[in-house]
Amino acid sequence: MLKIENLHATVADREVLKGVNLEIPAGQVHAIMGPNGSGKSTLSYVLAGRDDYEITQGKITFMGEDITEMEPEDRAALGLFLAFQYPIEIPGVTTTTFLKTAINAIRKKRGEAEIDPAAFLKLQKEKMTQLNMSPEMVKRGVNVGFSGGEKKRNEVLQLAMLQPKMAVLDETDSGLDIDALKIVADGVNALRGAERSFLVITHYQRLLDYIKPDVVHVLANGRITATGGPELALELEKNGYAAYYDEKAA
Amino acid sequence: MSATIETIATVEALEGKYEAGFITDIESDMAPKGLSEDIIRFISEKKGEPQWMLDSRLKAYRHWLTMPEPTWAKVDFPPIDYQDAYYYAAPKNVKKLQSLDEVDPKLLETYKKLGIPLREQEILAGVAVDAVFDSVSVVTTFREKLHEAGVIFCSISEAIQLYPDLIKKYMGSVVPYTDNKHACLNAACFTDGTFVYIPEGVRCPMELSTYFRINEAKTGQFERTVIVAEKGSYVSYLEGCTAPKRDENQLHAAVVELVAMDDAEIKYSTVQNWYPGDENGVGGIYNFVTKRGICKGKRSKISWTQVETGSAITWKYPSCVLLGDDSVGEFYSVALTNNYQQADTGTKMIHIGKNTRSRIISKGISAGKSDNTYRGLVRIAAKAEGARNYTQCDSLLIGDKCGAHTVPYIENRNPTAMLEHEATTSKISDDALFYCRQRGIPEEEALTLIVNGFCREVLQHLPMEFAVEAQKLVAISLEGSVG
Amino acid sequence: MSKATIKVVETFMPPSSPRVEALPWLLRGGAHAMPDGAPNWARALRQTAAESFAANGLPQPGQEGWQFTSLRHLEPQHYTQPDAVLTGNVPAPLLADSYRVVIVDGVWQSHLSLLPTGLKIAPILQATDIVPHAEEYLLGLGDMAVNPFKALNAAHLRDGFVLALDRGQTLDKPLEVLLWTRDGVAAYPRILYWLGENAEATVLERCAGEGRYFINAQTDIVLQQSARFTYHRLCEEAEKASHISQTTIHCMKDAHFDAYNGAFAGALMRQGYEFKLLEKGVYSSLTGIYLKDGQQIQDFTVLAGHYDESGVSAQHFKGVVDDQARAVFQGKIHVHRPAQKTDGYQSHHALLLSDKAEANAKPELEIYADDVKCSHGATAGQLDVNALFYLRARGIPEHEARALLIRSFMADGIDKIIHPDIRNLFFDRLDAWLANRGKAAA
Repeated sequence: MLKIENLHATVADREVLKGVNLEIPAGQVHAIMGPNGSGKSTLSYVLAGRDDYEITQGKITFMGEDITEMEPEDRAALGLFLAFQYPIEIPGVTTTTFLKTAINAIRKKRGEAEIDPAAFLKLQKEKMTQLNMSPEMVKRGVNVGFSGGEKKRNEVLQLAMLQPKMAVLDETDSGLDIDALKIVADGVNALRGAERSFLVITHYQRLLDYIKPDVVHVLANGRITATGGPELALELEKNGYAAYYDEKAA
Repeated sequence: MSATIETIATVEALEGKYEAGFITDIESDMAPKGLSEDIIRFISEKKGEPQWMLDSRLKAYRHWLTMPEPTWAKVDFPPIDYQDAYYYAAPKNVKKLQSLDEVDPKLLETYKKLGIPLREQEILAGVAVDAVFDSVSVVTTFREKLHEAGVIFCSISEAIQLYPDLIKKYMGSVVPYTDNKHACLNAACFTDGTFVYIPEGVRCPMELSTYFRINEAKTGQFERTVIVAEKGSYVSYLEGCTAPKRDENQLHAAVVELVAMDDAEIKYSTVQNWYPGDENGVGGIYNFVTKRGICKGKRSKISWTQVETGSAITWKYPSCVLLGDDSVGEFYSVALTNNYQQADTGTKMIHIGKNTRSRIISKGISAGKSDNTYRGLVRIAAKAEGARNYTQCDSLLIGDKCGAHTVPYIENRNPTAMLEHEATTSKISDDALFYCRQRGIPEEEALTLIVNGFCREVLQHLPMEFAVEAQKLVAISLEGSVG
Repeated sequence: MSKATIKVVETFMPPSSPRVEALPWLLRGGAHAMPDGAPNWARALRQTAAESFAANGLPQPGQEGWQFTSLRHLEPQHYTQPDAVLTGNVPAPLLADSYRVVIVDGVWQSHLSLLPTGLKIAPILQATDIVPHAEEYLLGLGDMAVNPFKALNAAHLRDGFVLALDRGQTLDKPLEVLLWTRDGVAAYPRILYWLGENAEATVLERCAGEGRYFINAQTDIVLQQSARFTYHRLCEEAEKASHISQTTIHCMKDAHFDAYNGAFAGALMRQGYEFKLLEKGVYSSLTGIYLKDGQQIQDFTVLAGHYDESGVSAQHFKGVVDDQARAVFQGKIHVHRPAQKTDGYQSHHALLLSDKAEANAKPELEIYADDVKCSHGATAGQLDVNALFYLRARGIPEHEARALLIRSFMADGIDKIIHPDIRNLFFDRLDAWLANRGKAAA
């Protein structure tokens, strides 16, 4: 579903990704772990197509298409979703309006009809109940005045509503207490299926207790330095990242 | 008699000392170019006005000749040649088009984007409408309903004939002809406008916008509007239209006067979308408007809401004089400029009565190479015990070739008054745009979504159906500002 | 219904005060000849400025920038410029451990100075000898027609001083500058502080005097790359004095400037500050504090000009107006096109203690760059009645309760002053003012 080949990327002229290779087949959950500054967030932004991140080498293929140079909205329309580590506030635009705009924009791009407003509201209500969200939250400006946990829940709500093929979760666990973490994880797990893949980016093993990965990768110094099963995450938790700096990649 | 011949006859019947060029000039169905006492007499004569009205116009005209142009606004334009403009054109002489096929396709495209019904499009574009047109009967129904309620709602010309006492009492009572050069010009040569009178205790049975929307295809160049709300009455009035209209006149100088008695409330909403000039700053309307309301009575309230997206130059400060104790003034404004537009707009809240309150929310958006200024005055007079003001001015810049300016004047002469003023200027963050795009929303749509969110606090004060159109208008006005 | 006459017209100028004519003494006072050997730039400047002032006179009533501040206090007096010879005493320094410069009637008294050896300091007319390109700053007064007091000062250019710190030089103690003016005098000092790269200094300027006088000071501060300057101005002019000053701060890359301006007493005080953030990464702040009563007029007019990227300007004003006093704050942040990533903030909070007191504010933003964060806030009002009641309910008499609340309102401005002795000086002035007010109330 997603294939990353020899990906090099720079931010403000500094090379952050130095040759990442990664392949995620349909239906699988991959986790990327790594120390701070290893390039985890950069990878998520580069996948989503942020302007100020420049790809200097390599290729990203998603759903059989080369998306390396694609606009962010077109990647979204193809079914790529990024749950932001720091969700953005948009004053004056309610989450309902925001989501409806997004869904219809994607549908339009795919040549589909606009979503029926009643069906949309019904679906939104359903998903919110699952995520234990107050109905008031979607009537407020997107993320405006939300707590850290509420923002993350709002990300998962959007994920559930947009039904992407592939979701990248960037440090979705940061800032969550254990109850919120469970709710968010349940929300994600409910979306797991044979046709949907996940890339879970996290610093701690904790999230992976709740969202069980099929494969775990270690990202250090801009490269994948190790790949293994769920046990790799446990080992990292115990021994830290020191052993995975560069020498293995070199 | 054809309209053209009639015009010539009327002019000739006057003491007329017109230049030789006159006859050829009026082939375009207008009074000759330029302004003079004769032209003013001509306008008054055409309208069959009583002597006192003519006298009042002439007095204004003579004063106008002595007045300097206001120069304090942050707008830049070459001096206006007042003798190079027309001041009277009989509305019936406006050329009717036979069908929408003859209308500029660009205009039609905009109507489509705004979702304006076909029938209304025809009226707005000036297409001849056949007599059985639905809205005509709708208009009649409205009139009857208003009449039943005792509401006077007519053109100012009619009012001069039918209600001279009311006109004498109120016209010029809030904005005297001596106020400023543009208002003075209006007092001398206003051609039409609206008069609304709501009797004591009457709640106007409908939004006067509804009527206006259908009927107001031919807004004049020098409109004069007077709205009087007697004790305990209420009226909501919407001026203008989201749809751009054909208009050949460059200079617009309207005057609006509102008077609210005890416990009365007037809500005045404006959507202004005059031709802003092209993307190179050529052409466009000069919109020099004087709007002022007086809260004469206790607990009265005047609320201005405006969405200003059009005109090459906007010079406009809808204001409230809060004379009655406990009276309330409000100003909600969205001003959006793009390309080479210049807007200098804001409000004045003059607190005179005790416990008077005012609230100012202004949202300015500058794009392209435009300049957008908020200019406001909050004055608390010495006797305005317990007065309150809250002001918030936010500016948004789109692109790095435009300007956003905030010029508030805050004067407080009473220690018990509380004034709060906040202002911010920012740009649309790349983060917010990226967030929207990641969710699949294309860049231009993301921009308008964010801008509409920025304006929401103001737009929600518009009557419902216009709020929706105003949002679309924002989108249209921003076209071409990304990328 | 109220019979109040309402005059509202479509303009933003308040009803203007009567015109003050250009007073004859204003120029006659400048009759002092230039000292022999005065440099050409000084002669030329004096000439141009005199011409400009003669052509434009004092600010017109209603002239933008001057509409709130009446100059009538300048009118009845005939001020003169005495000879530079000092007779009599001047007040002792306020700071125990400091360097010292004394200016009397606008003239530098070098014999009263206390300065470290090797410090570059000279009369203003010799500025070009110790500061590279000094003329640039001394002549660059901008449009003198817009601010006639710049012209007036320059037309009387005679004395003042220039202080220059070399690259990396640090003044190890604060410099205390006394600007002392005597009865009947019009003083026109000109001061230039020039700090080389990485140089650092702390200055306290104290403006005071006796009787009825007029001081019109022009100060320029030039900060080269990464220089740090902390500038305090304690204006405690005599009751009948008029003080009109202009200070321009020219900041180069990564310069850091903090100013604290306390305005106490004085019949008419107009303090103009212009910040020029000419290069990247400049930080500048100005905290203004004022306490005004009687018929005093206090005017702060501040322009923060951002010319290059990533500059910060923060201006905070707090003040109290009592009796028939009038406070004016005119602030403007002007962000020029190249000044992306500007961070600008200004605030003005006024406390009105009497029903004849007046506070006017005009916090302006003029912005031409899109990636900026600029904001301002302004409030005016009286003491919080709830807080007052709370204190009284605890048994504190009303006038004491008021004093406490005024003190707490003012304190957070003064608290920003880092130098403890200088901070205490400001607090002393605040407490003295409150005590005086308490006495009047009792």
